[in-house]
Amino acid sequence: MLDEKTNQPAIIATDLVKTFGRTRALDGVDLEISAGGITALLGSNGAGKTTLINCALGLTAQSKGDIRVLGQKSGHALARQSTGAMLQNSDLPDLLTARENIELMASYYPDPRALDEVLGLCEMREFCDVQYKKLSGGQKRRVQFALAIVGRPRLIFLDEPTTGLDSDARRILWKTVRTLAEQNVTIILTTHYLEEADALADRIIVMNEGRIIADAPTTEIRDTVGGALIRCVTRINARQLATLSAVRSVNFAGRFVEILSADAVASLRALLEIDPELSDLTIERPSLEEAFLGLTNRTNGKTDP
Amino acid sequence: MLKRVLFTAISVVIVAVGTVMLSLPTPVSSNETTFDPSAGLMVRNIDVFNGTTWLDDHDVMVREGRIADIGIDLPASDDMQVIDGQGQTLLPGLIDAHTHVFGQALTDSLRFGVTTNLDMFTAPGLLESNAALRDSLDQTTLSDFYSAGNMATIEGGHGTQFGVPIETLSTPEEASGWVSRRIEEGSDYIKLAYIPGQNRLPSLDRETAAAIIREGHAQGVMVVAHISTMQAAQDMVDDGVDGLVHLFADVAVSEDFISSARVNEIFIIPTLTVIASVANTQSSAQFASDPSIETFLTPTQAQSLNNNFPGGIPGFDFDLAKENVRRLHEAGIVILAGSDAPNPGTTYGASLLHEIELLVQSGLTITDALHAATRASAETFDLVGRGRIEIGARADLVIINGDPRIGTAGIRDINTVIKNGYIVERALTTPRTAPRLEDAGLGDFETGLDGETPVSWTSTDDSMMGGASTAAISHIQPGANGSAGAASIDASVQPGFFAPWAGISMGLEQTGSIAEYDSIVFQVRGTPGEYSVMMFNSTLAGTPPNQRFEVTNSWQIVSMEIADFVDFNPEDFVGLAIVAGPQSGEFVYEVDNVRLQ
Amino acid sequence: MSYSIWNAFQKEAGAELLKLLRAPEFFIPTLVMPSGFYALFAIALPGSHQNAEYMLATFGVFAVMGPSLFGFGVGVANERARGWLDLKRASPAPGIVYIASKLTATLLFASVSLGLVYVIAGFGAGVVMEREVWVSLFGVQLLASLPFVLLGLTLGFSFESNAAVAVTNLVFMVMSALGGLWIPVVIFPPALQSIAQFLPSYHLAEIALFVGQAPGTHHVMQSLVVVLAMTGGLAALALFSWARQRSS
Repeated sequence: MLDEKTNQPAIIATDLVKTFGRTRALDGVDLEISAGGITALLGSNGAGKTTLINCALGLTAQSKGDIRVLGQKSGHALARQSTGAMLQNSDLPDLLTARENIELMASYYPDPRALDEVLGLCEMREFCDVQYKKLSGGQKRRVQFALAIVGRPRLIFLDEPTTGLDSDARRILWKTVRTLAEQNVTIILTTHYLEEADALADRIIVMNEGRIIADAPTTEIRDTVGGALIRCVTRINARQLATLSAVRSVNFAGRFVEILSADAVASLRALLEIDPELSDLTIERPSLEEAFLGLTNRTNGKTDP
Repeated sequence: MLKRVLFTAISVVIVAVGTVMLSLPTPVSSNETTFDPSAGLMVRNIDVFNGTTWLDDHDVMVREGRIADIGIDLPASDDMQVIDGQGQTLLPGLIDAHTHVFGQALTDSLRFGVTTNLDMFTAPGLLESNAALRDSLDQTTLSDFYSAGNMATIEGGHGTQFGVPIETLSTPEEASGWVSRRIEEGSDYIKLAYIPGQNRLPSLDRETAAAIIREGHAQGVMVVAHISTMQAAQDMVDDGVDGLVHLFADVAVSEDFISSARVNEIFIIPTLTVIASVANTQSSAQFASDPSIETFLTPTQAQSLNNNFPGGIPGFDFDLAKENVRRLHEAGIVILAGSDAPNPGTTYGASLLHEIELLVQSGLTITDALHAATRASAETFDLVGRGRIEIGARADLVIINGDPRIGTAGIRDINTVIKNGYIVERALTTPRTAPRLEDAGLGDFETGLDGETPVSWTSTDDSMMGGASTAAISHIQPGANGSAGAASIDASVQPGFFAPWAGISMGLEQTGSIAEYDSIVFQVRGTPGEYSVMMFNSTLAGTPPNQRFEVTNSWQIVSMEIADFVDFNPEDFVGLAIVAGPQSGEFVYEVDNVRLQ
Repeated sequence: MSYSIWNAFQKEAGAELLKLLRAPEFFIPTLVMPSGFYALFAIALPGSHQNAEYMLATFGVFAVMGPSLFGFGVGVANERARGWLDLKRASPAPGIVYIASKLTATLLFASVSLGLVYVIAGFGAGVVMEREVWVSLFGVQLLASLPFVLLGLTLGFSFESNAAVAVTNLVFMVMSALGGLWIPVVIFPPALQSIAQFLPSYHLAEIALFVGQAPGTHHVMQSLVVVLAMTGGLAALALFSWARQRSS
């Protein structure tokens, strides 16, 4: 799907590599994000999410490969005119009020939203005339969010937008993001929280160590991720384990087997039935990465007997 | 609104800075002192002293440097500068009949209305272009002068002690050649020193003096005599001298002298000002403190007025001198006003005003005293167009506030000086100082007293001029502001020479040009007091061009504009001296980083 | 300049001024220090009144140097550290707007600082000059901020926030003292004097001294050439350091 204003996909990255010294922050990312909708970049710290966004914004020059934003080279003036951003570590001038900060940012764009519209969208009228340094952490993030949308951008990057927000503020932000998405604005956000990705995104991209390790529509992920991780030593083989009740994926790690299950009780009951001598049993909620590794492994498991 | 902040700030800053810029002080524009000389100048409704008599409430018109008309209700053209002279007095430019033209004589005297100086001995080198200069009617900052040039004296006699090269003579046979060489050099008249019988200095003998008078008259010039006793004066009168440039103050003038003076029609320039100084009366210091005088005195002039002759000289009774003036004047002897500047207790210009007052104190009327300071000198010395206010005379004029016929103080209060039809800028321009130097180091004294360029530093004192001052110099460490070394001077300034000094000086091996530099800069500290910088050309004429400065106990930078050394030729620089003096005393001081900049 | 850039410039310059005005603890000392120093050197110290005119030329350069160096050196480093500069670079704001508005605020600020020095000079220290000399000296001194602005930019792009404060202060002191802005360089030992030749502050002061018709010989053409060359060099350095921090 192409952006309705620019007739371009939002992002196309080809074999994108970024190295900082010996660290490969991005290690060959190939990605296309079509216009419209909300895409969540999921991953732990250091996975490469922020580096990817910085490359897309033109703040960081890639070491290799290519990234195009709305059909332009990243950082190109035309791309920036249609882009809004909320960065992870970016404080605004301390001595300006929210209103002044927004007015200033609006002046950079050819067709910005009215100040009043932004204050309304972000529900921040009550603190818009307070100097930035006197705001709470959450209020500061909301001003930053307001700056990201004031320019009526076609593409918005939100890097960890809800970190430090209370639930009310988070709700307001989610609501605004959804409203914008309804107007066919492309939104790319990074998050640690599966719930946030689940609540907002149409598409989830999982990154680990500079690579994309999973990329799927949210609906698919909602179906497949979750449940519990059962870890034990058993004599039952993978093929048989995979057929057990509620099992999503099976993975061997040394002498252990890791079974990702949508319903731990049901799966465990079935497993104990066929192997009463299983040992070293632990059950835990899987980390995001494990969940997505599970996701990918299950896919592998289906094709790999 | 952010835009409003910007435009408010810009407006406020522009208005504020603009207001400051428009109200910052600028030099007072001197509209009144500039005018188009071709259009001329009209002084209206002023009381005029024409050199002889008074023309009250007249108009005087000046065109092209000369007086064009005198009358009542004269028509003035529109572009003519008009001065309202109501309540003021117009005098002819004053003539000082006895000065010595050295240093800043011509500028200093002009500021006080003396438009013509009669020099009674200076370096003959100054006379070369003088005749043409004094005939000019161009705008000038200089007074005109006539000169005796090289005076007639014996080897070692009066006149040889000032350091000016001088051709002496000792026998009547030399007189003819000597006089013709003076006329050749440009002397306008001859002055001889005849002071027999006093043991301080040898003198020409009477026969030689008489021969000089005869030869002078034979070759068509006047001969005047410097005497200090009535006996010497009588000798000279008997031998046919034209005038005396001092009045004796040793005895009361005798009837015999008066009658021979009248028969021989001599004139006398009493120089009461210098007699007052020799007699230690302090009247000059008092005169110098009058604001209408003091404002226009350079530091050098003020210094000179506050000096007396060191120790005084016996044989001068000031009251006797005034009484002699009164009796000679009453007997009809021509009295001319002269100051003998720049001797101690006198200075150029101001001292002639003082002399006029002293003549009045002696018993002359103000009218006679002003006549003595103007037309009497012009007629005696045959100065065409000077000392009078007549149609066709030179427009050398002085406007004074008030009427001097009512009280004598009015003569000091000069309002305007006009020379060659131009109003003279009377205000002093103080030398500007700048603490900067960078090139052409003359001495940094880092490792010793050797200079940086081919220069050598030595001690200097006035012994070459017959003075008694001494100086010793040494190298000390450290120098100014952390530099490695400096020159230290131990100077003892003693009375002897009329402007005594002692200090350190540098000389170049050969003359050099410093025309590309603006100032001489150095650092100094030491015994607080007054010091001088003297600049030397390869030809020495009188007191070297100099400027004074103050020293304090802490290092300070002294910077002097080379242009402010009057009569110094920067293309012919041979050296300079940084000295203590002329006030007597013991001075220990240090000098460092002497540079031209 | 298209309307949108002009519009952005006006607002950003306004914002820069607001930030300045809302930090009186920074701007009042910076504003008052040059005139205070000038009053001390040209009025209060014994014998100094003779040099009031001379020092007006050098302290004027000093007055514009402070806002230029600190506004850009510390200001840019600080905004870089906060990530504010990143956000601006991600936005469509042209770099020229950022520089131009900071420059505008700096020039206005420097004008006021300079104006105060002039007030002290004219009404306290007895300096008297022709009107056109006052005005042209002011103009020259205001222009003298340009090389310092470029130097400040280079420092701001090259050093992290805390380091930038220290380095800018050091540069400020060296430029002032060794450039002869407080005390004429002639007072220094020759080795230190020769350092002055490499400082823009020294040459700018020379030009100001010439324009202000201060006494002494000022090699104005030579200083002008040196200043222009230095300004060109600093501009290149500023561009280089900007580009370098950008590509990291």
